[in-house]
Amino acid sequence: MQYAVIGLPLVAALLALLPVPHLPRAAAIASGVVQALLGVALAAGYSSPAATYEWAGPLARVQLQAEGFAATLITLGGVLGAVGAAASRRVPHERAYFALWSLLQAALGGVLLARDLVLFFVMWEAMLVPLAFLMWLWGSHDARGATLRFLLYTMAGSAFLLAGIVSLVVARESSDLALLAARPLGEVSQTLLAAFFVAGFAVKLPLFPFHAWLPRAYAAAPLPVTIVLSGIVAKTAAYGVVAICLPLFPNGMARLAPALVALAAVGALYGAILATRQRDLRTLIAYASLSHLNVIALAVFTGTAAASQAALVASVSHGLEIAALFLLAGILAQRAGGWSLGGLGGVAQSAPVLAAFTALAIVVTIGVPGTSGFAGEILVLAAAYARFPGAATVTALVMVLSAVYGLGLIRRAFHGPSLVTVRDLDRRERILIAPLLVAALALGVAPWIVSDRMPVPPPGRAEVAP
Amino acid sequence: MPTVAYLLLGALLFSLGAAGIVLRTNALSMLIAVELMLNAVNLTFVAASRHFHATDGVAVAFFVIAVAAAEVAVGLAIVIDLARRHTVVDVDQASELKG
Amino acid sequence: MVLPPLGGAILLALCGGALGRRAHGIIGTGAIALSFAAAIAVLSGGAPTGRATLGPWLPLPGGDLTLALDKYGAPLMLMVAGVSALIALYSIGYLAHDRGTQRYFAALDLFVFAMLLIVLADNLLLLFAGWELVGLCSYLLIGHWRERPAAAAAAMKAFVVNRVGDVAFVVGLLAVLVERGTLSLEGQGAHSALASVLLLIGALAKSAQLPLHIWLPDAMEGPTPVSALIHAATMVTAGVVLLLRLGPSLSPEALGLASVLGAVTALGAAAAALVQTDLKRVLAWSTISQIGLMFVGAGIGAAFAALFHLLAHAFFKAALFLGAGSVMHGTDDEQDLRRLGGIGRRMRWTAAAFAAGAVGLAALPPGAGFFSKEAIAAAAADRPLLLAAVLLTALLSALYAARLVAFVVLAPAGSPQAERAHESTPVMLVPLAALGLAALSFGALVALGVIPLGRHDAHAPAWLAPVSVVVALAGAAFGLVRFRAGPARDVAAGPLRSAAASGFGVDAFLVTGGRRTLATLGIALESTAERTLDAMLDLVAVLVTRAARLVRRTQNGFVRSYEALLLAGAALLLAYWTLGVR
Repeated sequence: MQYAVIGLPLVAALLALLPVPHLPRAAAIASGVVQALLGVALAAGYSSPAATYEWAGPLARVQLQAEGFAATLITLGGVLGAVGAAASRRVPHERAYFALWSLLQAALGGVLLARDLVLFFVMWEAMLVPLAFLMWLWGSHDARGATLRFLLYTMAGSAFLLAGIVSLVVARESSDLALLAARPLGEVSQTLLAAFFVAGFAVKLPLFPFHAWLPRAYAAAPLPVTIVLSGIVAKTAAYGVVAICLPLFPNGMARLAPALVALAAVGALYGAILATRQRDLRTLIAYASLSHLNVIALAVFTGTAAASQAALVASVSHGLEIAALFLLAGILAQRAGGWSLGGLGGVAQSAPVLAAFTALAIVVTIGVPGTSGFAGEILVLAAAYARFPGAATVTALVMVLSAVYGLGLIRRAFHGPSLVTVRDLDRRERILIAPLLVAALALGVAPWIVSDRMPVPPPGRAEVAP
Repeated sequence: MPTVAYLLLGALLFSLGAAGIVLRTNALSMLIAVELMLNAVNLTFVAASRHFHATDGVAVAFFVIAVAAAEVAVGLAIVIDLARRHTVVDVDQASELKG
Repeated sequence: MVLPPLGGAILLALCGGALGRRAHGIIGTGAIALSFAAAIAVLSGGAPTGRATLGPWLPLPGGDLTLALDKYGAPLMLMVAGVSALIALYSIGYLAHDRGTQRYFAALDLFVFAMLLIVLADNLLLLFAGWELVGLCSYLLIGHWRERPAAAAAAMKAFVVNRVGDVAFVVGLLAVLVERGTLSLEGQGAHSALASVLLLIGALAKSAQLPLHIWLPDAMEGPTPVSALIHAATMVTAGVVLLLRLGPSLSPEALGLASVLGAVTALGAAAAALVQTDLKRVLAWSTISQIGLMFVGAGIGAAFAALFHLLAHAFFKAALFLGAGSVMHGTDDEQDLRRLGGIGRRMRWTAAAFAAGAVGLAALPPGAGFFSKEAIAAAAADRPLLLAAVLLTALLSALYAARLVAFVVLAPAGSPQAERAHESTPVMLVPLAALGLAALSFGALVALGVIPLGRHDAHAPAWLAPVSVVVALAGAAFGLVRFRAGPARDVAAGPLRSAAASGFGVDAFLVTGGRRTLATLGIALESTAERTLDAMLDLVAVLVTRAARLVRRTQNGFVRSYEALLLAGAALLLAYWTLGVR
């Protein structure tokens, strides 16, 4: 079954090349939906036995397996892939577009399923190729510069990751994740290698201060690509930390944790502060996303089981809310003639449904209880507070700032006298966006749907007290 | 004669040839220098073969001669092409393959 | 019983568009009334003290969907549901010509649901959920007339200030979790000073106490029934509810801070109320002041007194607000006190209810306010400073209450609109009358024991009761006499008056300060940090290109350089093999 997760998108990519109208997009949407369903099945525990196929001798095996964290992310990836594909109407050269899109989906599946370090790295890099093409060729005016910076920065990080992987594999003569976890290295080596691995993941997360590529990339890339980039690709970095760094280098990560957690807390605050200053819809959402991603980073670097669980909930929530936000913002910008907030005003009077949907998306983003945003946030804060109360308190301040930029967005765009008349959401758009918001609400009321995928052992005294 | 003498002569010839290819700018002169190096190597192989009373060195010398002949053929073809383009066969001027 | 309003909200949100305006009102009010009926049904079957769990919620210890009825739950539940139902009924009339009734009643129902959560939640997490949700509904309702920039700004201000308190609440909640291992509210032990103070800060924001009170006066931009419900009877009392429910577990530092801040707020706000020219703003500052008194009561451990005053205030303040709404409705939305007047003659019912509310506010017997303020004063009897503050506030309250009645009811009409005032429809008058009645009778009923409310701390010095009566009467009499002629005889203008009117500058200070800090930070970060990080990124590129250029010099097309390099390399290898290998 795991093979289908990767195989199906590959089939969709091939189908996309056929000159049948509407087929590419339909195939992409279908493969996304099926991928999501497979993810649910995997999360529920059904999976084919982990077949092993030796690829480059004992060092690189194609071993695919996924549980809890990875499986849930596969579901999220499938959902976002389908949504993004559905939102990509009327793209030029759609065959190439959707072929690349499906390749990206396949690579995503591969990253999340790999149980072998070398395979993981191959898939990790494989994600970049279709992503870069999509950004460069279908992006807007700044596409070239933004893509180059994104690529350059990411690959610099990957260089560190590769160095770390190679040294580890050579030292232990195996690249199998399970085996490596069972035989940890000495503390100094662990810390060093952990630093290398984290460097690779830090750029993708993106951990402050390695986020410089983000605002330009989010603004230049086509909207559906941004959704996937922010919603799931960033989460693969979080997955990398949780599934690779933490089990393989427990002591090393513990030594690095205070510094990393501090960076994440600063990053969350930083993103939020800058978001309040943005006058362009896209960059505002980009910085808001940066803030939330750093909150997720805070969780993964805290390192406890509860923190990883919190990271999962927060990741799913962020994926849903960012997709909804970007879609709505895209619709608004398209109809109001621009991304600038200055050109908007009083849209609620001409498009009340759009206003309502956006308000709901913002409510999820700023973490009002009853939404998944709150569930993620509070779980992260609770888990982080147990180990790093200072960082958790600093991160809590983000709650105020998110209200400022979130409600500020609503006020500037929707409230006040009507300056711009905008056509309201049509049925197709409502059908596309509503499930995202409904899922966010459902997850807010019943977060155990996701958090049970990563059960936390009941805390002994040691778990809660630092 | 002690084998060392042959080895020394071979080394001397080899160095002369090496200096030749670096110092000479005329392509034909470089080819001649290369021939010098190859023959120096031949001399060394044969001397070693005689010293160890084995036939391996001589066998290798045969290969070297064959390779040298082939290389001269190709080299002269390149020199003729160069001559056609630049009139003067100066290696320093043929630096278009840069990058 | 919390579910009907939630159901109403969802129903309205999803299908409300299709139904007519009347249906909105009926569903909205009906849902709340159902809740009230359910509450009565539950209680009349004997007061249950059990807890009911709906299911798990968040994977944190104590984070389930559990409701429980503690000793404050019953009276609060009844008050919230009852007053909300009355106000919803009133809204039907008030918003008869409004286009956004679907949004309004949906938000209203959601609000009642959330408020009931605060009252009935069995753990801090669920309580916080209700806490934030009332904040959200407050935002939605204050900004109901969203085409008005002032309303939109006020709504955002309310939410953001509340959020500041919420941050403190959350961190306090986390501290409790770490210290005691669970968030459940049953059988609580003592919380640490840190956690208690943090939770207190949360309460300060929600209940509009110093220094987080700045959102409440601006919140008057919302429709008047909203002000009545959210900013008089329920949401702003949430902070007091929190203090009551956590009561003995809070640290003495936090409780002391609560009473001190409450006293200062009560005095300052009363002074501000005295000099406002806008009808609703007087009531807003008055609310801040009265809640300050409740905080004093809660801080010194007089839970019964605080609860009593909370309920009494709910009745008389709601009556005042609804009366004000009725006045505004009848005078074409005139809110300026200087231009009102003469309502007594033209809108009799409204005036009567309004006066009843004022009696409660001024703490004149037999109004509800008299008995409840009495209770707080009694509890503070052994703390002279606090007692003085309470009594002084009572005097000021009577003064401004009289001023209100004088300007609105007794004074001659101050504008053409006031002269043309017409009485409101029965839909609005019935709830108004009910609340006015409650304002007058509630106090006596409790004091006489007809309504069981809890233990009455009965060790007040004998001189207190007569002194309170004198204070109230004096204030009221002086106010009526002086202000009867109308705004011409208002409080003299001057630096003291303008200072008081703006709330002694706290609002301006905090808002401007906050905005400037954020802007400065933002600009600083943008110009320095972002640029540096961008440069870091470019650095990577620059390094790579420089290195590449360096290496590129070997590819120069000169055969001789290639040869030289070749020979050099060969020589090195040779040296390594002959010399290096041992």
